Formats: sequence, structure tokens, C-alpha cells
Amino acid sequence: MTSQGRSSPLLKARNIWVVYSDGTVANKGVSLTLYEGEIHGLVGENGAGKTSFVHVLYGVVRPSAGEIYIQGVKTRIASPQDARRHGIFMVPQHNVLIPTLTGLDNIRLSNGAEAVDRVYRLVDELGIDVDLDTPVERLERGMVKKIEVLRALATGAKIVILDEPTSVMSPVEVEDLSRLLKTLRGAGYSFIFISHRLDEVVEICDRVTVLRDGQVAYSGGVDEVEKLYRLMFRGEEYLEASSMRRISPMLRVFLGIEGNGQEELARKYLSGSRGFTGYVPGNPYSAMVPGMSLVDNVRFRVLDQDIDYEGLTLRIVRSYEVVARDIYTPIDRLSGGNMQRFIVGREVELSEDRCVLMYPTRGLDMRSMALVHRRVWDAVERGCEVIYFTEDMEEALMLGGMISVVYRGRVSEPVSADEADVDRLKMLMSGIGWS
Amino acid sequence: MELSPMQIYRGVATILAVSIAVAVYSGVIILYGGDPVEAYTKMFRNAFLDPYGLRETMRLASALGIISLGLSIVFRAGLWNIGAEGQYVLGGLAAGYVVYVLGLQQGGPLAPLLIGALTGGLYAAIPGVLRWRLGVNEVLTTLMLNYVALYLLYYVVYGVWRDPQTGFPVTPEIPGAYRLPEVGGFVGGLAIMLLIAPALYYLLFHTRYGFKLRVYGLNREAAEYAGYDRRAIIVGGLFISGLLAGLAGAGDFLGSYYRLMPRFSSGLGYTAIIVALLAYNHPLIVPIASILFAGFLYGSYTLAIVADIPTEATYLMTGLLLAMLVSTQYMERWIGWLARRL
Ligand SMILES: Nc1ncnc2c1ncn2[C@@H]1O[C@H](COP(=O)(O)OP(=O)(O)O)[C@@H](O)[C@H]1O
Ligand SMILES: [Mg+2]
Repeated sequence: MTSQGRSSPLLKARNIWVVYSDGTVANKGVSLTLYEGEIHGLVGENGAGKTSFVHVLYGVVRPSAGEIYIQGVKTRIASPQDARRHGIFMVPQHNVLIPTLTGLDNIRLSNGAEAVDRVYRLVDELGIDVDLDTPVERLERGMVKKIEVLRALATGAKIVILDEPTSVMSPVEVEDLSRLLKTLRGAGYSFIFISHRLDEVVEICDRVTVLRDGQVAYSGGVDEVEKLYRLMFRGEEYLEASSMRRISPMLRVFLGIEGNGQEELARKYLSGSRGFTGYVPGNPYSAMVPGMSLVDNVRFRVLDQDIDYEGLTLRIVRSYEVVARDIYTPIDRLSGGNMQRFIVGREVELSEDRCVLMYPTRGLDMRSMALVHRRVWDAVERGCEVIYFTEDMEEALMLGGMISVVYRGRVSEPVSADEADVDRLKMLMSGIGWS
Repeated sequence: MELSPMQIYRGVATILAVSIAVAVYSGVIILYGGDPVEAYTKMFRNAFLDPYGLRETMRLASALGIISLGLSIVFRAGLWNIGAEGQYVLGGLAAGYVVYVLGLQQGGPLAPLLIGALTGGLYAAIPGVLRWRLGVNEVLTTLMLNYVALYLLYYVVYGVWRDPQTGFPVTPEIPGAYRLPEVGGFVGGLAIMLLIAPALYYLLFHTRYGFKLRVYGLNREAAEYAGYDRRAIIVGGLFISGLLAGLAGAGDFLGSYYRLMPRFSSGLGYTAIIVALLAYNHPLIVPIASILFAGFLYGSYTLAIVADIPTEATYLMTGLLLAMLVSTQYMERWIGWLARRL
């Protein structure tokens, strides 16, 4: 169902500019039109300006220029309360529900008893499968997102903005969320769906807007993935690289959502290696020393060895494209992505015969991810065994190597990335098909 | 060098804390009908320009500085030694033991000085071991041990070591042979502080041990990740700080009081926390901070005498400063966490 033919769009943003106080221009004249009963994808690399744009729609960020029309009427959205009055609700990237309360209690607490009634009516009428009676902290992340969507609708929202809802979901959870959104679309609700995974955007959305460097690179119907890729990224470098799909028994990839036994697996690989074993823990902040320079952040890791720390730091900064004024910059001066690439780089470069990387590209954009993958292969080529954990199936396939799925403490037989059956991996990740 | 968000936060927080404390102190002066500018000028003159005052200021500064130097080491490791007061007292007691009980004459002040320091160090190592082995919070243990040391002091001054001749609760003056000589017209402790400061700077910034201490203080998880020995950091760090507090106690006993009395414990160990924090736990800034702070303390005491500003105002200010500086240090972890979220 497409809705382009309708005369008056539900929401229209025209020529939005966002300039932050530090001079960063996050949006350079972004326009977007949302029709009733539409799921509109908003895609782009990290830093493309997606969040900034929807923050304007939600009244969090004041645009420097541009207009917003709601059902044809020019409207100023000054605050989230304002946005909600106009039927717009945003589900932020990170969970905002109170973890110890059930979904129902969360809704009751923040939106009142009336909202609870509305949610019940929705669930009944549309036959939505949702668990509202379990404390949120014990639910899968996909279920939590579903509750957040329902909460948005309970406040009377007609338009729900979802900022990267799927970034930490398993494929089955994504399909589940997709089903919910499509059901709700049928009931007349509209969505702006932010993601940087194109396959799911193609699968879920009616139309898509591609942002690149704060500008609209494309807006219209959903086309083939390849074309969207090219629109989204500056170069095509990565598509080519990934199509090669290299294989080596020295690269072991463990695919699975965090908390399925990866810690134990990693610990096993961390012991029993002869040389220095590089290790990026799941939380990279526990592997760095804030307040110390980049050089000292290398030094602290291999303190008792005779190493040219400055030279090594410089090499890491260069080959991992870490943006820093110099190697004496305090590490907490770096942006999140640069910090992470630096830590990953340090561990990969220091590794002698083995390197254990837990979710090393989590939160990185495609370009950085591709860079890390290249360096991983460099390490493999110089004879270092790499143990690579990821939650993202697409990433596992792009990286190559021997893939095993990890689920509830079990590890599947490794298959090589070029022979991997995508559906089978998806099933295993979701707990299906284990003998 | 570029400043990290944490360092910027630290600078702003310190300036703010000092400003608030000065404002409150000025408020008290006004409340008592004084003129703050005039009062501060008088304080400065009394503490630094008057020859007698300067000697007193330096006497105070040396003890304060030596204790703070030790604290700057453990604080860098993110460990809270709140027990410098007790370690200082015990240092004095141990030195007293050498003089009054053992009567060890060789080496003059050297033996009591070293034994005092060592005792202070071992006394601080107890909370260190408890922390390392059992995870007991060192804030509580170091604080509680202050009372143990304090009552031990009362026990000897009111009891076994009391001067039989006067009958007052003070110990007899020590013989001249034990006395720490003056250096350059000031108490010997000042020279000791000025010698120790660069040594600790070297330890902290140019040795592997110092580096590990700092890493541990900045991110414990990272220290564990890199496989550092917790015992050396926790027990060692507390030992060093106790060693210096004990040295300061022994130094005051041998170099300026020449006896023990109930007021031997006068809160220096707590004030030294302020000095260390004001100096950003930097061994080369500590001497300056301790001289300035000692000047303020001595100056405010004289003010109490000549201008009727009560000494309670001084305690109010130091207490306030301590509370603010400690809480900003605690908040530092949150700031780091926040900075990563933004
Ligand atoms: N509050 C802010 N102040 C300054 N710059 C910001 C702020 N928020 C985001 N930016 C910058 O604006 C750009 C776009 O960011 P964002 O809208 O978050 O992108 P996306 O959501 O597509 O990853 C980035 O360069 C980011 O660093
Ligand atoms: Mg974003």
C-alpha cells in the first residue's frame, strides 16, 4: 500500500537546517513527507544527521531554518510536549522504561490509567502479541521495543518515530517488530523508522529517505538494496570488498546476541595462548584509561615490555584513521567511534598469536566497520588467530571466516562464510534448529 | 597539552569550591562587623610578613605538606585514606616510644623519625590489607583507626608517660640530642617536605609503579584488564601515605613540640586532605598549596585573637571546603560517565 496519491500529507518538513552551538551543521536543508498509514524509512551512516532531524520533529532541537506542516498547517514544535500534543511521539534509541516495572506499570505510571485502557483496546482489536506483565528487565529487547511503541500509541500518538530500534535485535525479533508495525500501519498509524540496515528497511518500509552528510540523497519508493547502498555511502569500496568473502580457519566468528555465553567462550580463548593475546572486552570503556593520553593508553596495556610506545601509537592512529590532534591528546577527548577504533587497533596490533574481539564494531558506521574488517584480515594474514564476536549477521557474512552461532551457551558447528545458509543462521540465532 | 574533559571539570570544580568557601568565610567576617579585605590583608601580613608568623606558618606547612604528599599518592590510586590523623599520631607515639622507653641515643633524631614513619605506614597498611583481601571499604577502616590512635595518645599522656614533675597531661620535653635541627631558620620538617616532594613526583610520573597507581585510580576495571597486581597498589599505596603521615607526626614531635600532649592530634590529618585535593594530588603543587593553606590557618588564628573573628569560622570554612572537594572528586566518576554519553 502506497499513499503518495493523497492530497494532504500527514506531516511535511521542508528545508530543515540544524546547526549546533559548536558550529556542526547536522542537517542542510532536509525535507521529508510522511503520509497517513505509512512506514517511512530514514537511513544513513552514523553522523548523517538522522537523529538530529527527528529531534527537530520531536521538539528537542530547534532548527535554524525550515518549516514543519502538520496536515497542511504550518506548525512550530517547541518541545516534546508540543510534539505529543500534535500526535507525534518518539521512541529513543535507548530504553527509557523503568526496568523493574512491568510494561503495564510503566504505561500506567507515565501515562495514567486511561492509557492502559487504550493499550488493552489496541491489543485486543489488533491481536497484538505482547507481554505486559513481566518486569521489563527480564524481557527480550524486541519485546521492550514493542511495549515502547504501544506506550507511544497510548498517549494518543498518530505518528511514531523509532530511532534505530533494531540495532541490537536478533533477526527474529526484527521480524516480530516488523509485523507489529505493519499491523499498526493497517490501523492508520504512521511511522518514521530509522535504521542503517538496508535489508530490513526494504522489508519493512513503504518509502525511504536516504541522508548523506546532512542532505537528502534520495527520497521515494524502496528500490533494490544495492542502489540504496550506493546512495548511502560516499564510495563503493565496501560493497566490492564484501563480495569477495574471504575464508580462513584462522578467523573464527561467533554470531549471537550478547549474553548467550560469549563471556565464557572468550575466557576460554584468552587463556592458553603463548604470545600476547589482544582482547577487546564487550565494554571497551573498561579497556581504556580516561584522563590519560593515547600513548599512555597504549603503554598501560603492555607496561612491562620494551616497546616504542610512541611509534606504535602513531601507527594505530594512522592505520585505524583515528581523528585526534596528536598522540598526546587525552583519550576521553576522542569521540566514541574514534575511541573504539583506537582500542580495537591497539589490541589487534599488539596481538601476537591470538586476538579476541568482542563486538568490536558495535556502534561504528559502515565505513569504520569495513576498516576494522580489513585490519582483522591483515592480522590473520600475518598468522594471528582472530576470535571475533558479533551480534550482527550481515556483519558476520561480510567479514568472512568460519561462522558459528552462539545461543544459550551452545555453539554451532562452524560453517565457512561463503557456504553459510542465511536462513539457517537466522534460525539458530533465534533458538530454532538446535539438535 | 590538551585538557581532557575530566581535567577541565576538575579545574572548574576547585575554583568553585574555593570561591564558595571564601565567600562563606567573608560572610562570617562581615557578620562580626569586620571588613573582609582588611581581614585578608591582616591575615597575609601576620602569616607571611611577620618573622615570627612566617616561622609558625612554615611549621604548620611542613607537617601539612608531608602528610598531603602521602595522601596525593593514594588519592591518585582512587583510594581514600581518611586516617592520616591517626597515622600522624601513631608516628609521634612510636617516636616517643623510642625516646621515652627505648632511650635509643645513637643517631639522634634519626631512629625515632624512621621508626615513627614506619609505624604510621604499617598502621595504614592494615586497612590496605582489609581492602585487598576482603574488600572492606578503606574509608571506614582508616577513619575508625583514628580513634584507636587518639585514645592511645590519651592513655600515654594522661598515664604512663605523663611528666611526673609538672603533673600536667604532657610528656617530658625530650633531650636536645633527639631534637630535629632547624634548617635555614625554619623547622627541619620544611626541608624534609621540600626533599620528598620531587621524589614522590618522580615515583608517580616516572616509574612503572606510579603509572600503575594512576591507572588504578582512573579506571579500576582497566587496571584489572591489564593484569596489574592489586596488592601492590592497594596495600603499597596506603603504606606510603601512612609512612609520610607517620613521618610528619614524628617530625612534629622531634622538631617542634618536643613532647606529646592531648592536642598533639589537632586535625592536621584531615586538613591535609583539603591540601592534597586543592593541589590536584600533584606532589609538586602540594608544597605550594600547603604553605598557602598554612598561611590561611595561621592567619585566621591570629585574626581570632586581634579581631574577634572566632576560630570556629576557620573550621567552618575548612569543613565546607573538605566536603565540597571530596564530593567533586566522587562526582568525577559520574562526569567521566556523562562525557561518554554526550
Ligand atoms: N548536541 C550536538 N552538538 C553538536 N554536534 C552534534 C550534536 N548532536 C549531534 N551532533 C553532530 O551532528 C552530526 C549528526 O549527528 P546525528 O544527527 O546524531 O546523526 P545520526 O543520527 O545520523 O547518526 C554528527 O556529526 C554529530 O557529531
Ligand atoms: Mg542517531
